[in-house]
Amino acid sequence: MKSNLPNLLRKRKLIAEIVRFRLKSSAVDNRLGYLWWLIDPIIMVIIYWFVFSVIRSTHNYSPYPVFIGCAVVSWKYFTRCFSNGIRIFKTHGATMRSIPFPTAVLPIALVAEEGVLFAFGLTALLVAAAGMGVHPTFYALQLVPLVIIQAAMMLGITLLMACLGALIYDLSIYVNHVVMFLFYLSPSLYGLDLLEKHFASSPWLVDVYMFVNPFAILFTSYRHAIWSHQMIPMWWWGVMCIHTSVLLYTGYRTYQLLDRRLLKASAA
Amino acid sequence: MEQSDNPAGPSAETTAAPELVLEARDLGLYYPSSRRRTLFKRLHHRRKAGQYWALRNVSFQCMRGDVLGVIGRNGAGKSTLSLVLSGIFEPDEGTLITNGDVSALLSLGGMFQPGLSGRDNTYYFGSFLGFSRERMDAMIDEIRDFSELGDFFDEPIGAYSSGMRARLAFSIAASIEPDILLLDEVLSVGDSGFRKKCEARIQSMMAKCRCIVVISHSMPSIKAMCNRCLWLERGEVKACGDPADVIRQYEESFANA
Repeated sequence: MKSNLPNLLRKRKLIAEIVRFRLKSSAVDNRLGYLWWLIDPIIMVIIYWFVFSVIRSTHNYSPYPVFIGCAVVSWKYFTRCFSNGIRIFKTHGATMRSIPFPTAVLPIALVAEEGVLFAFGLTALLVAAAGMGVHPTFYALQLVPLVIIQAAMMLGITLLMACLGALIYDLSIYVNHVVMFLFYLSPSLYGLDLLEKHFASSPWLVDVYMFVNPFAILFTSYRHAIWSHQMIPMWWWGVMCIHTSVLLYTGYRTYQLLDRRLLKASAA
Repeated sequence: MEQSDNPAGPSAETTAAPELVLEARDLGLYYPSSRRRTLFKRLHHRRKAGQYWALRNVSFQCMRGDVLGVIGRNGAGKSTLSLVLSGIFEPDEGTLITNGDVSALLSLGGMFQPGLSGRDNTYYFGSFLGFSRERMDAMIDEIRDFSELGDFFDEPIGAYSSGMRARLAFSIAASIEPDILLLDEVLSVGDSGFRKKCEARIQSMMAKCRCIVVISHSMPSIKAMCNRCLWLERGEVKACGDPADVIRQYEESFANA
């Protein structure tokens, strides 16, 4: 069954059921159950906070856990979609060989499933931020379109990585280094102000950087909504929409082109 | 194209012209070569990535009431044929004509989510098979009873033995009522008691199906259940016809090897 848009829309109930059962499965796999979804992102933030508070001054970004939390929680959504997306046809090969269905429901369900965990992570971050005196304001409403935009971005990336992961068997070994490099290249543990200071003589370089690296605007936008309480500039929304459209189109078109080869690769 | 010598199947009781339910015409399907070589070897040998035909020029017909057995050695193309017939793969060559819904009763055990209970996995399977939650609610007790898992039905699948998984997989898959049913190796799992129960269930399904395709290494099962037999060898049809004749030829090929 082809993974085109009409078939996928027809199978939306299947996508919802996959998400439901996979979330249930992941919850029963650990003793803390659903509570782990709230604790897990907090632990990750604490680790980054501890490590990077020691090695560098963080006076500019107070409270630093909230500052890095805005990037780390969003980054975790990306890395889980990215790494699980690469393996998705290997882990679901038996299903694909057993029942005819548009296989794109698997990466779509993955993005939705990880999206639920991301929502839990954001909730935990907002609660932790309030505990540190950074209470949610009107600006936090910007999170709604931000989350939708990121989910759409993740869908494009996951569709693309699912295709590449099925056809390039050793891809996951190499991309880990790229992902790590991208993390440190993005303003995750530092702010855009650091870059602006560094490139004070050529400020246009920062604009180019923000246009080329989708996470630069994304991380900073989450900080605007949660940490620094500012409106996200309109041109940032525009750039994010461009990033999302390009990623979604690339992912969907690649999937359509390789759909038949993916099935064969899963059976070979 | 292979013609049916004996189109009258177990449930064909009328003398009217047999109804064509399934027809394969020169089916062909290839896989890209999955040979893994390092970049150095690729550059050194400069060989083009190959492909191999898992099926080639496969033709046969199934009439209403036919039970077609498919036999062949490992790697002969039986499972690939099943994937093509069930609609998972589109053939790269030839055409496939089906007159009705096709459902495969494949080796479903690999799909189970180990953390979920048998009950949850049944619902999970059901969603892939296109069953609504209401329909699954109505079917769940029957599936539970048929599987004979008792209280284990609500335990995580991870605690099941392979036999218990096979029972559950068959019980779920046997709840479907397709026009054309594909059975791939499902008869070779489970203990002898459960196997007999499966065969009885398949017999009852036969009355509802227009035709059945059974893929198995079990020659006694093929002889007992099928009225026609297809022998595949290296992706091509070696023989097709009466099961006793085809199985005799198949077994002689081992003796001559």
